[in-house]
Amino acid sequence: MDFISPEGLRLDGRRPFELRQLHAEIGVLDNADGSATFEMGNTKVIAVVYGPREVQNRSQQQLDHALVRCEYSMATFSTGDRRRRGKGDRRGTELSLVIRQTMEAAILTNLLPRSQIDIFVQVLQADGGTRACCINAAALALADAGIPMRDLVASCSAGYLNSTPLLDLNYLEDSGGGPDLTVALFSKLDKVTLLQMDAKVPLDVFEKVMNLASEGAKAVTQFLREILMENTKKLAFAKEPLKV
Amino acid sequence: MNQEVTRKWLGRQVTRRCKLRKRSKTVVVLIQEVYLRDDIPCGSSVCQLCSQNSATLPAHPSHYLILDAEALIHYLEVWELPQITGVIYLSSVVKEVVNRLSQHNYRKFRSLFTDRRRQSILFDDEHFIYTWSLNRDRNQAAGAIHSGKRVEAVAGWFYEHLEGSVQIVAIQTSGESDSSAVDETFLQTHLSRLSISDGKSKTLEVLNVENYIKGYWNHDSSVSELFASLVQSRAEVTEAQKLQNDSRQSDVSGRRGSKGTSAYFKEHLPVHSLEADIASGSLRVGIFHVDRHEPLEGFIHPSNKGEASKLEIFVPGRLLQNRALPGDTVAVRMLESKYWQASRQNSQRGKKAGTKTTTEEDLKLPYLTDEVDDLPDTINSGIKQVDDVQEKAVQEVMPTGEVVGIVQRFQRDYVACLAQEDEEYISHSIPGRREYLLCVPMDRRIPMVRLNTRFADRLLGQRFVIRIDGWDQDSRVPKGHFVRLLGPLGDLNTETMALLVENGINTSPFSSASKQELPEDTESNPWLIPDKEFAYRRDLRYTHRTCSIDPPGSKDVDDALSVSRLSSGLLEIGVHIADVSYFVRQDSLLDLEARARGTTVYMVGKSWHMLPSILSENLCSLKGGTDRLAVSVVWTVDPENFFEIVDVWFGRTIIRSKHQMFYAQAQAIVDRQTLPSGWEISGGQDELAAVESDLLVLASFSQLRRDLRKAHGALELVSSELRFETAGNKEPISVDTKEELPMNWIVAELMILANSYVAKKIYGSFPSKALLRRHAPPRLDNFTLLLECCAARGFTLDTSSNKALANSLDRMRDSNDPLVESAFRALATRAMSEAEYCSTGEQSDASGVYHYGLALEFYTHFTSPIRRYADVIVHRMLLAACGEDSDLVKGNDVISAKTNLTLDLPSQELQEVVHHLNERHRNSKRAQKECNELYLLMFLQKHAKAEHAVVISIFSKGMMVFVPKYDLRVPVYLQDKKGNVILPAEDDSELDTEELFSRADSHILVKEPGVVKINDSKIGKTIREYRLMDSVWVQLRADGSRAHAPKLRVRLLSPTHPDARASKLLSSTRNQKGIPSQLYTLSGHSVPDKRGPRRAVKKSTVKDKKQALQDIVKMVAVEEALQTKPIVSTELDSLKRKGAMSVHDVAEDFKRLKVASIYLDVESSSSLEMFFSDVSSAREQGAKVFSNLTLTDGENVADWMPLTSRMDVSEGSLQPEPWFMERLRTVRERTLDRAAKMRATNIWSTLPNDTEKLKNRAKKEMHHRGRAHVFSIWLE
Repeated sequence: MDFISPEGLRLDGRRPFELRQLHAEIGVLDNADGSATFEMGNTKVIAVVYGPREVQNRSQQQLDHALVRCEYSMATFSTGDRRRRGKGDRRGTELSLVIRQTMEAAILTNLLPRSQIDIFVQVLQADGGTRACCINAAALALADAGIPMRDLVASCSAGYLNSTPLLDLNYLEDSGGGPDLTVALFSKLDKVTLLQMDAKVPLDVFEKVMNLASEGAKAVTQFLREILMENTKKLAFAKEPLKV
Repeated sequence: MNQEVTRKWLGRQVTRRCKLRKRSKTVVVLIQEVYLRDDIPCGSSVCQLCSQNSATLPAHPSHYLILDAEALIHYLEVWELPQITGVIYLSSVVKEVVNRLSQHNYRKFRSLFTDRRRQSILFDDEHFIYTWSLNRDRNQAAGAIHSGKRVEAVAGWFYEHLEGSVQIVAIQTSGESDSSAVDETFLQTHLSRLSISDGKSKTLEVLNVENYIKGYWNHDSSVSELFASLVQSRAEVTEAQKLQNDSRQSDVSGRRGSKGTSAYFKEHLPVHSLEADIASGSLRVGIFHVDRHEPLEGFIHPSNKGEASKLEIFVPGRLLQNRALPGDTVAVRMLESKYWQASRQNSQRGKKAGTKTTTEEDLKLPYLTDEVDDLPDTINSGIKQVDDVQEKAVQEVMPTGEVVGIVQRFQRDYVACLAQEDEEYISHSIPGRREYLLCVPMDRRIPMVRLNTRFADRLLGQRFVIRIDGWDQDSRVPKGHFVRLLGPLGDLNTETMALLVENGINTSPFSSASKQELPEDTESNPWLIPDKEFAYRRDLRYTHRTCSIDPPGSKDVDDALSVSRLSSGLLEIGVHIADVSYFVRQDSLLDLEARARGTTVYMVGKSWHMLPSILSENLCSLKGGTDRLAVSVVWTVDPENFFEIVDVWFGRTIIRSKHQMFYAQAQAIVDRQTLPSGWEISGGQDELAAVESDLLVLASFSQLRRDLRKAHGALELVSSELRFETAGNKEPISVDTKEELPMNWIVAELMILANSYVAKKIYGSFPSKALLRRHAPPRLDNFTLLLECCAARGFTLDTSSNKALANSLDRMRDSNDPLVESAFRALATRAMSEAEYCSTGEQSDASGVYHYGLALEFYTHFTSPIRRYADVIVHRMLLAACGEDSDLVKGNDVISAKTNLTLDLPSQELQEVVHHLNERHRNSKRAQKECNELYLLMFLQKHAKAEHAVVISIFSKGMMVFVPKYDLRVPVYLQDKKGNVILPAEDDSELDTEELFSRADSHILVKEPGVVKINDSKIGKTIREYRLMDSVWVQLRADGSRAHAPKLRVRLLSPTHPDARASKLLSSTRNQKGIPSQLYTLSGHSVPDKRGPRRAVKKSTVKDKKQALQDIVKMVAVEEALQTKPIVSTELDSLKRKGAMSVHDVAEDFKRLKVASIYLDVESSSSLEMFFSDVSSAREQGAKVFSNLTLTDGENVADWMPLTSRMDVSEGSLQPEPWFMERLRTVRERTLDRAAKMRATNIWSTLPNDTEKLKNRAKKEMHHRGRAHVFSIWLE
């Protein structure tokens, strides 16, 4: 199958190095400490953060740092065919773990000993790149909750089809059989916190795809920063009239 | 990089669609997003705004064409014509077409817009912000109007974008089936709206296809004719549909297939149920194969996932084949095992290629005779009918299946002519009327095709190209349409063209656009090497004496050879190959053209070149005396150390070939014969001596490499090539096997060496995308036939490895009968698998890239870039590989040149190219073979030939024989179709039927394992019996056939037949002169050229003859003296048997056989005495007798060498033995010091001092081995 036209356009009209449309909202749920939705094209994820709060299960309490927990789920309506997806399936557990580890690395947990932070991530609409989208949403929600972090985490995926590296695969491209690589970055520290790929690729190809994905992640960071800035401005504006 | 990631699209649209899943019957919601943009270039070179990089549309077009889906689908063949350029294909339209043309070959379809030579583009209107909005108009019904609107929108945009500078034609077909009925007013309003908006007229048109062809292609008959025949075949389809609809409406019960007797075939399953069944495994999919000789027997190797690849499904008879044509991908349902049946072909399996003759009548049989009319549509009847066709012998049944659907039709052009009856009918009818005609395809596997045409009168007595459109359920024959004429039947030009078309070889001339890329070379303005080339190329013009050796009269000289002596005592041996990649830049039009052709096709008397003749015959060709660009492989070898390769250099060079020689000429120089006029080389006697010494160096070097390869297990395979002499009208007047001189394989060996070194180099640099040539080991079951034959003769054949096989074949050389040995070798050659190109990036199977036949780890094609495209790619790869580490490649020009050569081809694309090249290679080989066969049959048609043949297999009705002279395997029937036994012919008279009947009852054919007998029941005796590997006499004739190529008729001759006797006489005289040509070729030695200059040479050397005789006698004597055991050669033995009775004759033969290659066997002894009366006297003379033998004759130096390899092989060691090394030293000394040697009357003066030591060692060697070689005496 041709994933790239002779003109160099992908099936959905993007060029190989282009991201999908990004959209994010912060503070979508009022009862949570922090919440955000994040969209990459047709993939939409909501992330909700509770905490830092008291540890529910005393035995798990850590004396020197905070306990981070994460729960990933997919809404039944998130894919074309309606299907109940349990939380405990392999993919879900793995993704929860991945998100938790990424976020744990970002949060300055040692500032919040004996507390617990819960991150709930739910995929509302899935169209490829859910992993990256979840991390981005979680990062925003954590920021909204005011939890101290080392740096803003941002993530993006990239793949390799028709001998071309492609940024931010959608579902159709994802199921094309090529490698799918997800990267999460601290862009200011310029450090990689997550790198996942389950395929075999030649080293030179891997390097290309990896570079592309991290470029994408940097672009996402830029976007996240803008969104946060806007949100902060809004909050500041909301505060200011009271002062006057 | 960061910039690239930021978006450039302008808008995003999300659409929501619902899709019904057929299998699960559920509705699925699909959300699709579309990103819209404005940075899609228009692709026109006229345009100033868009980026010019991707401009492929022609700059000075008469118009640009935009097609809608209907027009594209229905008249696809018209758009595929090379004349049609400047087409803007819309991606939305293409998507629609691909969905609807599920049976079409997508790759071929895609080349419409991916092949740059077509100057057409794929325009992505779906993502283009100015044209997208019309695409998703939900209120519109899908189909024609939909695509029509898109076409209009794009046409309008292009028109405005190019500011009216180019005429734009949009083709619109309304939804109705009748294409001519486009609503005129509808067109008018659009036309006026679009064209008036700009105030210009005549630059935008919306037309239907018919008007377009009339308006724009009226001058080009090939376009308009093809269009006309397509319109007709389409009209037929719509008529048929209408009829079907009517009948369906009138049929109240609505049962499909109630058409009863009118449907001959079962209905094909619908596509979606096919897919489901294939996925579930209840149906098998595979490509439908039919053997050329049994057109009614189809086979399928299913390629379902996880299927055992060995399974072969048999599909006999037209009914079970259910309209499948060879090459189609079909879905097959297996029948229950009780319906399984045996294949007639299977009974002759292993030989596979019987020339079972199938006539026009045979092809008609199953469906054109009246008796099948009343066949009900059931499987059983299908089988029954097939049973009629088949003989009822008890044979092994095969898994049998029936075709239930066609997944993809294989599309190609077929060559055909009209059927006889129709031809008679037409000659009486009115010209220009629409006629339904039956035509007979040249390919015997294809049934007759119904043609609907207006040009019937023009097709009379002609061959023409047709294409098959489809095959209706209720028709016994497929229907097709006429494409173009080839020429009158029976004309040799026409027949050759027909072969080319049948094998899919492009014969069109080079396009003018690609010709513009050619460099200029005229008398007034000759092409010279540009100065900048001297900057980075190594200039070998004055330092290396370069010469080329090719077949006589060849114009495309790919390769030249050179030898130069370094001051250090080392030698530089160079192979210089024409630098085609300099002229043909990657991805230029010329490059694409050459890639599409893939290879030059050589037919008898004419060739179709891969490159235009200015390149292939002039600028690239390494002609003598002119400066030419080359890519060279230069080895530095150490002559002191057995020509060990010290260093190798690859790179671009400039050379000037000093001598352009041909094989026989070079051979004559090495043989030191007086050169006849026309054969001389320029430069006088000194130059001659220099060339000779160069050639001798090359000979010894290549001999050494060859030995090494053989020691690793290289096979010596034979494939005799035929050569035809043709009269003025191109008819063959004589046929001969091509002779091979030692010089042929000397050059070939150097080429193999260059290829293998280049292969190693590019593999080292590009391990994931090097183009190599691999030769997989043969499948073991290919050897069944050969093994049987070996068993019949009491030989053992070890097929476990190539080395074992080579050894077994070499052992057969000892057999007395060269005819049998050549049969064995030919059978072994046929058992080989086919060598093929491969890209190392592929997931290679276990066999990897090993070359089985040549016993090389890496091999590629590098040495013939003028005639093979693979070599051009390899050149680019090699130069790119050298760019990394070669000191010579520096400087700016070179870097730009280098970027030009970089391997942009991603490995996937390379794989596609490789696949394509393999196909081209196969096709051209097949075309050449068929052409040779055609000429051979034409020749046999005029002159029947009696030939010696060997029985290689036996089947129930007769036997297969192998005719070594023509490399033919043909069946000989001992029983005719009625079951009467055919006796071998005693004379030329035709068989008298009455006589036949009278003895029919008394003669019985008895087949036993390995033998077939004809018994006479009256006498109760066996009159004739034929065993495996018996040699027999057959008469070969050919009968003319109107529709097909001539057919070979074989008749067994009794030994008393006058022809057989005459031939025997002839061959025995030949034997007296020497061993038949086959053996010479096998052992790598020449058949002495009987014609022309050589004869003159012979006469002049009567003295030599005598000398030779003496030498032989003495040699044997010395051998005896050394050995104390008498020795005789099996060859001598066989010579004796063949009647070469005089000592003189034997000596002659010995001399010609170059003595050295003869194996002396200790065991057989006595017979020698009777040949040599003066043995004892020679014995007395002892060791000093050899002063004049062989060494006055330079050729022998090389020829002595094959022995060593045999010795080594038998010992299983690859390292040369010490004595072998010593010998080589002497060889080297003599080749290098040629002049000194010539002066010396006694060659021993040039030998090293420790002759005595050598002699002793040789003695010791011989003592250890049971066998001895003549050469060891030579050391005396």
